[in-house]
Amino acid sequence: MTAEPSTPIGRPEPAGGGGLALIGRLAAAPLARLAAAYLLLAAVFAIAADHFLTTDNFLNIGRATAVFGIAALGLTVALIAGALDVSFGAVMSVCGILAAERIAAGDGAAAAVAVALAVGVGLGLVNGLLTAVLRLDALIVTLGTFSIFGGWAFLHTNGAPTPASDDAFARIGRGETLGIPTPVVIMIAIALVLAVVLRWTGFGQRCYLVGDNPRAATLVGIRAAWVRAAALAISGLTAAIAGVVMVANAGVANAGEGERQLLNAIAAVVIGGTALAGGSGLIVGTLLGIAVLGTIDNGLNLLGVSSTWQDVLKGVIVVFALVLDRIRRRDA
Amino acid sequence: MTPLLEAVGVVKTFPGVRALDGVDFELRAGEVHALLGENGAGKSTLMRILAGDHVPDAGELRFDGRPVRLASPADAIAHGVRLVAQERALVPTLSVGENVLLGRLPRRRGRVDWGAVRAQAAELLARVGLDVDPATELGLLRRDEQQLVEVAKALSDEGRILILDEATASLSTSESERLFDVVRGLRAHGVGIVYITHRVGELASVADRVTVLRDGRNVLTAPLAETSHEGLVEQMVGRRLADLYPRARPEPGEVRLRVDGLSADGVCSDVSLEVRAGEIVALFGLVGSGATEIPYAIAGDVSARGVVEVRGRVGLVPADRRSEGLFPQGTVGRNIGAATLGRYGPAGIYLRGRETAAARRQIAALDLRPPRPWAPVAKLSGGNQQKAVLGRWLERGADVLLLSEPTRGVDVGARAEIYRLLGDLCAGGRSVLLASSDLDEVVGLADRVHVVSRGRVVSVLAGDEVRHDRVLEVATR
Amino acid sequence: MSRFALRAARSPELYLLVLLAATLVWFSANNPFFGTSANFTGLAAGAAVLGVAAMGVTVALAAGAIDFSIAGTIALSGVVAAWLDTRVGGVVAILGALAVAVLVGIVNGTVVTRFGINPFIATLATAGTLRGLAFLVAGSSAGIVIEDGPIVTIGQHEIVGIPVPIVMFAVIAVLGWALLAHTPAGRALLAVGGNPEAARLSGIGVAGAQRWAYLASAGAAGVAGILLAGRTGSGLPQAAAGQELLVYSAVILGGTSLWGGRATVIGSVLGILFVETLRNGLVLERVSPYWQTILQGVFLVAAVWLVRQQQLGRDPVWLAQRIARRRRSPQVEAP
Repeated sequence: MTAEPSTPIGRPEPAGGGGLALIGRLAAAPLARLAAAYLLLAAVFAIAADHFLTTDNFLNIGRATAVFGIAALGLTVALIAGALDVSFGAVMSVCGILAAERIAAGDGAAAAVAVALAVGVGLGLVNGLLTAVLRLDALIVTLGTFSIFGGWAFLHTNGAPTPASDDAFARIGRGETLGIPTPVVIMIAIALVLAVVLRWTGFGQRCYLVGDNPRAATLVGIRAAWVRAAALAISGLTAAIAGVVMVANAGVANAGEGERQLLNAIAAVVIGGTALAGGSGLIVGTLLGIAVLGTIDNGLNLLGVSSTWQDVLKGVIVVFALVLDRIRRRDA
Repeated sequence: MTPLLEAVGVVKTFPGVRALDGVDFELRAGEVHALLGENGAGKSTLMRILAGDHVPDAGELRFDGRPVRLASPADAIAHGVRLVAQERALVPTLSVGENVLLGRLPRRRGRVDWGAVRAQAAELLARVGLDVDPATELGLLRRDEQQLVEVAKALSDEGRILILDEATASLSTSESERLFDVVRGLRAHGVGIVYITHRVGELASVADRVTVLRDGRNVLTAPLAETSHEGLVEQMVGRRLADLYPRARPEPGEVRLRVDGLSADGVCSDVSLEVRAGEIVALFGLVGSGATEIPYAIAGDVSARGVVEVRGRVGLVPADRRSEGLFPQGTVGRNIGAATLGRYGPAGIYLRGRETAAARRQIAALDLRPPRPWAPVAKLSGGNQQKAVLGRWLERGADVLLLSEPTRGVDVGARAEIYRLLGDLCAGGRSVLLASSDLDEVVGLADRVHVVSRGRVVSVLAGDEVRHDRVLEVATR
Repeated sequence: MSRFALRAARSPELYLLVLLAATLVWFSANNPFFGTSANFTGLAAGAAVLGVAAMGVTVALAAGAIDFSIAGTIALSGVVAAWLDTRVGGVVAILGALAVAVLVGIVNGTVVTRFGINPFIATLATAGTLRGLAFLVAGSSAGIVIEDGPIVTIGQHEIVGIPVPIVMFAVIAVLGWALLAHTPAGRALLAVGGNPEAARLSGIGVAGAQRWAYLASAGAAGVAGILLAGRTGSGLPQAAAGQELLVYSAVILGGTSLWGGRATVIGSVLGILFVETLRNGLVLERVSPYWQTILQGVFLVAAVWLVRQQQLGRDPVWLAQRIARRRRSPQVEAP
């Protein structure tokens, strides 16, 4: 629809200067509605299930969401820069397997983590380089590398599980830090870092510009392909961290395991309000998206819904949430 | 005689805007009725209502005196309305022939009759004077060629009402002439034609009557013969435009930009020029001449050979604001700050407060409205969006501004403001290289005009020679 | 060069045909069993199942309708067919399974066109739901065994010496080709995929076209699900897991655009045959089947890159002309 406003309409001007303006804009953002929807969802479960409103339960939710949540955070950065990365699930598997092998070889947790993270960044850069050099859409490239990385994980392990039994390593996935499950601490730390990167660095701003209009970004002197490559590297890095947490928690690495997180992570990012076309999105939104998905799983669990039914309902609820969001946006 | 089409008291409201506020419009068989107005006056809304794309909130449409309701473009097509839209409504992945006959492919026994598609399309393309194989993929055609395909498409069957929206915007003079021929031919056959344009100057060639809209209301409907060019512009803008083009600039200073023997494949060859401080130098060429691509080659956006010497910084204001200039999801502040991100904090750090302060500076300097750094840029008018793009380069401290078609799709009022702005910038010692296919603005603004044809500078005109007739004569030679 | 030869030389299908031929020659030379008619028949029958699904995907992509729920639809329709088969008999089972697939198509189409949800995420979500429903209907991951009857006939029997799945694949492929290349409806789908706004202004219903597109992909997936159930003799809830990627790879490999407006049924047929030939040959060579996944990814990226080059006018004809020019130029300059 093309309206022709004779006078341009801006958002209502909030009183005060920069800081207050920011608060004003946050209040007007769709995220406020998402938060309200989340509270509603939580209220329903709180009434329906006895043990929902307990600290332990919320820690459970955190623990259950950390793996796909960590991946979703990096994915948010890539998507803002206009690169939909669908290969991250395969990167999780590959990095988890490599970490497990280092553990099995007796190299210790630190070496295992270092190898996994380095490889994660490397695979992300491979995505970025292919996108930049071949000038192809990131979705196509990562659809391809999804097969390549994922296939390699199966080929390398021959489909067999790789055990990773090391106490220090296991603590990454099962331990607690300051009374909070370590995976949750890791997720929140990454969220903070990435939120700061997006909001307070020139690189973060360039991600938004490149995602919004790559051609215009190029014309103002931004090397769009490299910004995208860097964003994909960040997505690779968080996928690697997610892979490490996943394997550390399970104590064993399996090819194909990371790929299962595809829907959860992408859904968290999209529910969080990041545009699939790039150019807009916030880490806070993705955190809310993660919380929504985690709470749905958890609430259904508490209500005694079987895991099969959960699979069925998950898709329905995700679609329903997106439809509701659309309808509200249309009314606004 | 019953008019072919009547719109009575049409009202259309979009969220926050009353686009049409009781507009009347009448189209007779066998007339060309020009529809004028600034951007935002409501003429494209009216056009879209006539084409069935929008449904009016109130008012009535009558065809041959009978009230009708158009719920979709398909309804309007069934009533014989044909639209040549401004944004090329073509499918790039299909063939030219199929695009010409889109939505009404000839069929035989339920199948598409490809032989007929070819033959009919070839005939229609010949009528608009476009010499391409109908089997060519449309996406491979140039912009002006696509515009002609669009016209051919509107001629593809017995339409009774033809709406042309800025149909000549990307056509060369000779192509426009041919289009006018086609329009006159249709008029003779009793087709009613709604002709929408920004170029008041070309009305004399085609229009019989003219209607002016302003702020969603009728201002004037009269036979063209009873109006004057200046009078129409005044009615559109609603005030006197004392002087569209700025005058009186200081003596030019040192040479800021020197281009020597610049060549780029498929764009230009052996272009040489100089721009001094305080000067506006124009590259004029008809559409397809390559003139408007030369700034890109100078700015290094396309690989080129030759010498480009710049004293200071260069800023490129691209031709297609929407696809090349703006960051449409961003705020005014982000759009202004985009080229200077490195300045808003030490060591890669970005402090939004500093960007906002910079944006405020440029907003004040350019009189950008609304004067709010956090206003979404997508909601600004075309002229103000262009100011945001200009402000980006001024913030960058650009001494040499390269502009490509800076007023394409910008209405008369905002146009005058951009011209004034360019005048002010030159008065302040900046240099402007203006590449344009708009003869009026080139003649009105430039100190010197480099006339471009087929990617080469064929002549340089200065002083008294910068006149409409001279420039056009050289360009079409 | 004649116009026909020139156009043939510039079509993406040709590359794929050459690639397929090379693969066939290579494996035939390396493995005596590969070239036998028994192997070819098995290979083709296997390819037919995913091939049918690929036809639906091709038609849907023509209109720009991305549907990542096809694997879920394949599983659900197979399981439903098996479930109904044990209770009310084969013919009703087939109809019932098709009805379920049509319902899936209607739901996908409605969610995407009516509510404007991004098709990628919407069908990713419904895929999970469909898979879950398949497990619910099956009751366990062991699936439901199908006794001899119409479904097994479709999956395993032959018509004049040709397995039924191959015949069905051929019929559906011809129908798909005729639809896209020769009917106004098919051209309307392509117009909608290429530029929805242009299609709308030309009087073509965009939402309607996309709904039909989702119906086509789900319907074809439903048929594929029944064929697969017939071939394996059981309705398996985990059937075709992860195969949506294989189908999309094959279709894109054939030259169909993921962004709509460009679709080739012949390319998709060749794409599926190539992918399945590769799998079959690698299995016979005792190369790990996982290599096939890797190669598929490589071919996907390579194919899209090649198509892009072609759109930029850099095809083999262009390359040949360039080389010829380079060879000739020194002679021209020589005195």
